[in-house]
Amino acid sequence: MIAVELVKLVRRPRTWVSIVLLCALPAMVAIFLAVTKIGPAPGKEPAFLSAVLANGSLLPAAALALVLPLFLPVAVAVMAGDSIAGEASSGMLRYLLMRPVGRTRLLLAKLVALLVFMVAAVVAVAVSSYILGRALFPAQPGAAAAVSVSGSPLTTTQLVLRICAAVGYVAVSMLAVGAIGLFLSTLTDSSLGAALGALAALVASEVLVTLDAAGAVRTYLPTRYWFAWLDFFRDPILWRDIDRGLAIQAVYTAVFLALAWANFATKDITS
Amino acid sequence: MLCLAPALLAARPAPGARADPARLRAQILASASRPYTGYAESQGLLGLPDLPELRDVVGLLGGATRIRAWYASPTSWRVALVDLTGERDTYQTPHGVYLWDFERNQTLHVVGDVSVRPPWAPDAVPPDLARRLLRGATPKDRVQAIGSRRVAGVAAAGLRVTSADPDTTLGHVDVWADPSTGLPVEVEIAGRGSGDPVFTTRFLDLRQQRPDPKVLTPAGPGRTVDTQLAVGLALDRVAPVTLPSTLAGRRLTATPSPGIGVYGDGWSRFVVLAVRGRIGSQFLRAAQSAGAAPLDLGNGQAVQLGASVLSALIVRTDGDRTSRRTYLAAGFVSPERLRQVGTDLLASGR
Amino acid sequence: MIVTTALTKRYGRVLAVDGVELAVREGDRYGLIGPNGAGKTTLLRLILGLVYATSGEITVLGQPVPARLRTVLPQVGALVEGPSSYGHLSARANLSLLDAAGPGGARRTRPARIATALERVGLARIDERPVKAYSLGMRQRLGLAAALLRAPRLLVLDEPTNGLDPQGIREIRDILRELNESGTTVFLSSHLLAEVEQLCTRVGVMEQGRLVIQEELAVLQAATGRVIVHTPDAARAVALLDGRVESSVDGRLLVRHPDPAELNALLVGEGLRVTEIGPERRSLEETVLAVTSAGSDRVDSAPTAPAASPAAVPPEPAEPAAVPAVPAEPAVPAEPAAPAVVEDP
Repeated sequence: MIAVELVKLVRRPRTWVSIVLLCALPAMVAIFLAVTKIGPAPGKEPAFLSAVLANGSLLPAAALALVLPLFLPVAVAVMAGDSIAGEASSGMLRYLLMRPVGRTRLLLAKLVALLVFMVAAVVAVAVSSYILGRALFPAQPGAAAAVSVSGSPLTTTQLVLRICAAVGYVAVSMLAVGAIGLFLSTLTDSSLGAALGALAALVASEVLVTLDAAGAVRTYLPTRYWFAWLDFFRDPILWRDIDRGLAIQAVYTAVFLALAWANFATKDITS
Repeated sequence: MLCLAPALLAARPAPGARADPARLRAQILASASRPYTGYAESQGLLGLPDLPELRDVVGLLGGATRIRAWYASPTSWRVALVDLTGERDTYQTPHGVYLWDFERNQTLHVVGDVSVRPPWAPDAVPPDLARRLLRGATPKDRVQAIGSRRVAGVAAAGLRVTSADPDTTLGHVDVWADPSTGLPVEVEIAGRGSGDPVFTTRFLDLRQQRPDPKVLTPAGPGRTVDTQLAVGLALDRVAPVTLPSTLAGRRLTATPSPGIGVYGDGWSRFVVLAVRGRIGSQFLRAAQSAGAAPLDLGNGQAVQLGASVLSALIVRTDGDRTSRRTYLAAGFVSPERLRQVGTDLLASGR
Repeated sequence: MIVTTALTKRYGRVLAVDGVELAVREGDRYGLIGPNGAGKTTLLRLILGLVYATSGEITVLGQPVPARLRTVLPQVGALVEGPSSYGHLSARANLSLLDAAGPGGARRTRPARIATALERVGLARIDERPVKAYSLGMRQRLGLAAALLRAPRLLVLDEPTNGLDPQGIREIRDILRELNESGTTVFLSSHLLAEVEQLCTRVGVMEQGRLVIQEELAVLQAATGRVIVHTPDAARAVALLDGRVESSVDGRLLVRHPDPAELNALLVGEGLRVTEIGPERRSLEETVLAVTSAGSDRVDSAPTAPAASPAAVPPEPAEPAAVPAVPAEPAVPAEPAAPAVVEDP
């Protein structure tokens, strides 16, 4: 079933459209930046964008900062919201279940396909912006491939490793959104409804994170440690928030997957 | 139940971390040689107006700051201010202080004395802040033991110093330190009167080990500028005038550079700067637009700024462009004392 | 093949299936009839494990459902509430994905399986167009092909001839009969009486969630004890069969008589000409109409009907209100009984 889901993912035009759109935003920003040479003022987001002017190899990091707050979670929420609800609304859900595909297996396969999509999307953004960055911007002068956020030189291997780690972390950061979307997708037959629900949860979390009054719950919000991927580029790497971010994602994923499973396994399929 | 587990774990009582306050105080003051590596978060509640050139100070005293610290010895340490867009590092090496700013992609090599300067990130690291505050306390200040706390895995003993000096706006300072090494792990500064904390800083991660020397070596590229810098305020903006030897009854205790003076001692000491004309006008305008109350001190121009425990004053003497002087005075002193400073400055400038 | 005991499904306050005791035997061609909203589709979903019963038990192929769905469903082919497919993929890709999704069957033999199924439903020469370009009839055939993909022992079909033209309906009927003769049990639901009448050997009638009739078609269509005689010599016949003729309209006589053959001999013996003679049978339609009240899409103020308010209608999508477009087969004189106009001689 997992293979079937992957085939469906690959053969679906929407997958490719969303990945291309994801890559297009950083590319657009990079082109504007390369033409105007106006970076954001210090202290202003997105991170890394001003550093890109000096070193194109850092564009993947800036691209992650660009797509992380909105584009990526929207794409993931749409994908996750569609996973079960989409099958239900197309009527294929009943045929898959009668084939028979176990409900748990189906959910698992959907989850795997979602994970593959998340990783593919983030990797596509990183790779495309790395190539674009090298083409549009000057390379770091001297022997080092790049300079870490802390100012120390990074070799190409170190830089690539750290970008890979950041890519992995960003992909994992999408897990909570994906799990919430998947859960909502088992609740409704409308993939749009499920996607919007996941996005609503996401926006609520992003708003609460910035609110000092919500300090008590802030630590437990799924978006709280989203930007900790930046800590991979510090020297030494600041693991504190990364660890917490991974743990939060794990907890949200476990809880919502359990809910999704509990709901889906006992649900009457009337679509 | 599962959700409560972390809270319960954090709230478990710190076992037997009660210490004799006098001994703990001595331990803390002697802890400068203790190496550590840690991550601290500070929270300032002083809402300051956004003064030009002082943005870092405003952020430090008026908001949340995330700090990483590596400390080997008083002459070899590094403090990194980390935020969502980059990092600013301060390296103390035997060859001087280096400042790295990722977003500006530059390293500055500071030449000269850095003891008098606006607060910077390294001041917000608990051990440094605690030692500085305890050193500044007078023998008359009351020292008492307070309840222990678990901070960054350390069962820390607590100490409260309540100020006996009527001139300072600081009410009391609470310090928690590792009773075995004396290394402070949390500091809470409270204002006089309300007793609410105005500034807190605490370690969230701490290892009391010598950091890797590689971490302590400034490696930033870009321009390395040798600069004489009172951090945040370039010295070339200070007017090199001779300051009065006493102001408001307080003696001039240090003159790190002409035009900069530290008066008094302890928590009620204050700094006076003479700034060049144009910068002075800028400050005056910024302070007025931030809603500072104009002050009538007889002659000249004066505005007073107050943000919780911090008082500041800007005075400008009468005169034309060349003869007039602008002074900036600030400290954790009572507004009345600072007003007297203003009167004295205007009198001396005549 | 399918046995349910006291099977009940409740959606909130609505009883969609109410104490149904279904019994489909091996080799049956079982037709489930009922108006829209009678609970047919819900019953099918219960049997296929898509919907879980509120109470009661289901046994399919001798195994309890839903407990042993994993062993039951591979032997069942189903078409529930219309065919579905991934619109952007071709028919072959759709079947291939569906085949790969479930257990059993080597990947090597997959193209052969798909080809057989497509050929069976008359889509052997289907091209690589995406399914969204297909007509309703083609999709229906594709759905049937999907159900036949694994050569099932039991076929569960919900409105299998929906959207097909008369030729298509005939074709599907032939396919199903053929499959049934080679050992496949067919269980289908329909709201087209004529379709069931022509195909099925056994009939169940549902009405407001209850299975009100379950009987062999032959029994339902048993002779009424009357004989229909067509004769040009109607007046003489009436005189001869005095008192036993119930009606006589345009040379068509309805005669109370147990045996058409004997009656024929009698009439012919008297020198009467008989153009057509045969036993009168009740049509399925009459039987069904006698036990059912109204379709669920009527919102009459039926005092006992649980489906009286539109909000309380079970969540069964409205089936297209198709007109029975089945051409009557000439061999079966299944006309509705003439109105009770008795012409006294």
